[in-house]
Amino acid sequence: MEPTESQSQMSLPANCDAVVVGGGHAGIEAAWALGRRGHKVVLVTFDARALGRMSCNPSVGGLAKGQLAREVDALGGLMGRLIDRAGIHFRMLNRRKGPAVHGPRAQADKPAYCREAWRFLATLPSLRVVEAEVTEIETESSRAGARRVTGVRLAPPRWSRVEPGSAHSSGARRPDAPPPPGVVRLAGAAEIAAPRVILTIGTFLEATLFSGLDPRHGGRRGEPPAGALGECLRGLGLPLARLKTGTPPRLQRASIDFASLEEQPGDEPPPRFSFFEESPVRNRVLCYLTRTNARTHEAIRAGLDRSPLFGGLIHGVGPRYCPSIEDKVVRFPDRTSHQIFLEPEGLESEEIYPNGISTSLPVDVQLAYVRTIPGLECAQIVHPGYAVEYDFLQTSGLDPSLSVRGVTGLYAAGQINGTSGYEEAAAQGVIAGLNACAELEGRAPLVLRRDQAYIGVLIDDLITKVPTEPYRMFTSQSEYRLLLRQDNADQRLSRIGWKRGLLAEEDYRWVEERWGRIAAARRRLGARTVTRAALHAATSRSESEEAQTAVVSERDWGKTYEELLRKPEVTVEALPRLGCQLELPQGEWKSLEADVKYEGYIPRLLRDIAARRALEETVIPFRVAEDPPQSLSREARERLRLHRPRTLGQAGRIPGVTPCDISLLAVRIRALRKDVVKP
Amino acid sequence: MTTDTIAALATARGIAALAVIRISGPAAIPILERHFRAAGRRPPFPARSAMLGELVCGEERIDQVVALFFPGPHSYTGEDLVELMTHGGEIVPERVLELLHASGARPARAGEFTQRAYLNGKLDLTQAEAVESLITARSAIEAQAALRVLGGGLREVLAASIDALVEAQALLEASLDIQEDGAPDTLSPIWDPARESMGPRVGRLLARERARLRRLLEGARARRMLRAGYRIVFAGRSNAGKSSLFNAFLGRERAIVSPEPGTTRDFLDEPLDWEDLRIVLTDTAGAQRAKGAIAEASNRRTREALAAASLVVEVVDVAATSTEELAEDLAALNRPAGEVIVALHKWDLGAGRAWQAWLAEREGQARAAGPAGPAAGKPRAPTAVPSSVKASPDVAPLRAAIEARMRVLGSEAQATLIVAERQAERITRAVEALERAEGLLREGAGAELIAFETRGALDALGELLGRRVGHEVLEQIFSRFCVGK
Repeated sequence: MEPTESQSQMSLPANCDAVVVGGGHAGIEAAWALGRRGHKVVLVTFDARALGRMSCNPSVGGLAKGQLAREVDALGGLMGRLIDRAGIHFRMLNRRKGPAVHGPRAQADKPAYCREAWRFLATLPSLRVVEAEVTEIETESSRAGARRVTGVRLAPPRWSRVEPGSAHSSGARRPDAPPPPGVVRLAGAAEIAAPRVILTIGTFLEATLFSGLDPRHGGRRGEPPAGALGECLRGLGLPLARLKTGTPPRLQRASIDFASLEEQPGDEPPPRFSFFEESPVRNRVLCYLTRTNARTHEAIRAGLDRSPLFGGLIHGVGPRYCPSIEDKVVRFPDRTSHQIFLEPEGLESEEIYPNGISTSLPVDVQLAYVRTIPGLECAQIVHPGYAVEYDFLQTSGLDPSLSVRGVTGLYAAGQINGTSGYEEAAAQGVIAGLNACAELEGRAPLVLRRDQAYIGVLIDDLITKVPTEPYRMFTSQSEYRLLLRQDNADQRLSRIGWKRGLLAEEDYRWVEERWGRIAAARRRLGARTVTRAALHAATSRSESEEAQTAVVSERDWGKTYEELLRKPEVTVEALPRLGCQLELPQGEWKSLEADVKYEGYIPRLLRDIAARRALEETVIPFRVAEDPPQSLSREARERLRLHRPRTLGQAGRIPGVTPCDISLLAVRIRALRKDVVKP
Repeated sequence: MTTDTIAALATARGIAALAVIRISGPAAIPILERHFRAAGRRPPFPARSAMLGELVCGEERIDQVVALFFPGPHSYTGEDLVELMTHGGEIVPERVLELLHASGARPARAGEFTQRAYLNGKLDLTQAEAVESLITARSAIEAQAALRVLGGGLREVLAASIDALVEAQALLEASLDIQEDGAPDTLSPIWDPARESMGPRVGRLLARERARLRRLLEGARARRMLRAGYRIVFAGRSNAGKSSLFNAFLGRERAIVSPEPGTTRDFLDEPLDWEDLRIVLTDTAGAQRAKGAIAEASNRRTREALAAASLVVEVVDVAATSTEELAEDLAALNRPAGEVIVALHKWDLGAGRAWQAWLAEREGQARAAGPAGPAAGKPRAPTAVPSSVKASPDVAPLRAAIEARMRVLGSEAQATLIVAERQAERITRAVEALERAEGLLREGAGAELIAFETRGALDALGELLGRRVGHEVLEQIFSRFCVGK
């Protein structure tokens, strides 16, 4: 581990405003936010070439996840811009359903994604990237038992821990290549003084990899786990628990017979993620579909005796929404087939990601079952699939700002908080980054509400319910789903991003213009009525086009075009045919349609939000949270002491706290207020 | 439970042979051991067995009592609970309470024992409300209904409804969080779409639960009528003979009767007992054609009385009114047929052939529809009965018709599982949300809109049981769908 001449010239800063531990999707967003605000920030990672690495599937977005990615973008985060540049296959999922549940999803060229992440971060003059392992978070006691972050202790990453030649280290190599320019590669132990530390260490904490009955240490394939940090966190009194996730074997592209498989092309035009990018996005690859069959399931059953999952080796709880293939075969024995999507890992990559068969079975079993699958009869496994079991921070100790309670200056974001997925991680990264900025700048923390953003739902869910499985965003987790569309994330959040100094002024102006145009187009729709001639033209033509017959009829004469568009079966694309030109860029049509279709629900949602606002805004005083009234049930009191909800609204979402407990709490808080007023 | 201890009088104050005082909380037993000297027994006291003894304060005897000890959690409140049967009256129970309060039990707030039972999971919210309804019941019918709800009757119905709606919600949510053409990273259904598609299944669930909840509400209306007092209002045209019938019904000359139209200007209320139900008879002024302040006020008072009516007796003077005019008047009343009885007044004086034919047809229809009663379904036309006054003041047929209606109402009220207005309000909200959801489903609107409505219905029902149902939906999704990449 000899540093070269040029690397040793880069010096490690002795102090900075904030240290970001980890360079995954949460880490790069946090560092971006701090750097954009001009704060001196150090990002510590094992491998500077792995910034923004996609360690599992090669895609960004999806149902609900697409909304999250768009929200990150609307706030001024990186994710949308990176995937637009690195994307090679774009789709809008759920297109046939209502606009609230549309979700953009894109396949990425994995190396390009990392390169783009590096390109953006390299523009920040106040950011320094350091290749090292954080072994300790240094703290000092502040008042009454609370601790305060003072800095981090660093050591060179322990690449030697990954045994050469083992299955998991097949892709493992010490990064012998010199680090990118400007990166410090640490040679010996060191310290950095910093008042803020953001933990974004993913699955690396006390991580164990499983392929068969032979567990190894490792954070992900080819990379060592973060060892000493776990002890340090325990020492700080932070409660940890265990989760598990998994990844499928990667297949060699040349060994797959694609000709026999169903193609899945991207959408045209490809839907982009960023609200602000002008660069073209292009579909450059195809994905393919195949399925498991009875023989696959047989091969899997035959290997179950060597499964770490069923052999009791894995204790962490895996995600029910993303079970391993062996889990699916055992839990749903009636199903004879499961879908598999073959996704390229990149334009140049020789690896194919078979989405749908994540596994921790031994390598020989993986090969056996893979080869029963159509198209994969001769498949070669480049890297075997594995499960990773890791520690996460129990989120009952988190504040809505993502700061860790009891340790001033410490933040946590991403998988360390028990979530799963790049988008969930990025969303937390932005918030943790912005809140570290807020603390440095003496501003109020940014806490998004549940009715404002999926990010708000995500963080509120995390702090009121400790994940019992890796947390994934679903649209059904939002009670205000109709308000939180992927296409209006900018309308909801860009003002905040601009005010917080993350989103550029010109980007925010663009959002205002865009929604100004949509509102104007909508006013025109409301002012124009459907003429008999237009109706006649539309209905007479529809004699040949049966599909249109149901859409409009004589009864629609005299209605405004807005009323017409409100009908479930009328789409915005049909309006020009019905005699109404929209005078709006086509990319904005769907936003107009969604606004009109959901209009009737908005007042009811707003009423509901207003009704809840009293609860959401009633702050629970410290002494009440510390010692809840005795009239509450014992479970409620324990939960309140554990979670320390900030408001009555949050308290009400904690499992085990009943509506009745909330009324009793409200009574107590009112009584306290009166006491204050009296003297 | 580490809560404080409460004590209060469980029986009414005043002169009585006995009074019951309840103590609940961790100090219940220490207090009992300190102040209760059982005849021939020493602590620890046996559970659930009556002990005769003396209540003492130091050396002073307060009363001779019977004490019962219910150890938690097998007690009403779920905590250690002691019941003391003391002598009644103004003095003794007060002295006992003073002693208990001085020994560390604080006075209980109204309803606090039941609140503790709820908090400790001994009762759900519907049961807690049933306790209130039971002790304030004004009729045997009401008390019986409350008792059934206390036994968990309403909870069972609501829980069944919630289960079914959670299933519908899960199907809707899954359809939104699942990509139909099988995109990766999404859910895929495990049920066989060929066997049953989602839409019809959701539609059936919604319709069934809406009907079930609606039935609950029917009884609620009957209950509300009986609890507020059943108001029978005599209405009809001026000089139809409303006041004569009213008097005949009461059996005395309560209202002034004269042949002049418009004798009655205001309405008259008279209470009447029928079995154990509270009934109020109201005589109203007929519609006044004359202009002027009195006439206007009189009309307004009549409208008010009609608005409060549980049953309207539409009095029609068959000698002075045509069947068509009656039809108009009934249309103007705009009430369900089950809440109207037509009294064909002065039948003995002037029922022409038209009226004879009209009544014969009515009776024929009624016979064809089968016997009246709760099982007979809703009547389509108001019951019509002839009555006479002048020749022989015979209101027996009218009385029989009213009693028949009362019996239907009574049995509905008895069958109801709704014992509080809050319950009726939430269930109404749920029914309305379900109706909207069904409408959207029929229109082919998006599942996200239908799910919005069903979620509203679930929230309303969840509030009734004091239970949040959001997470149950997600559990359902995971148990029913093979979800996965």
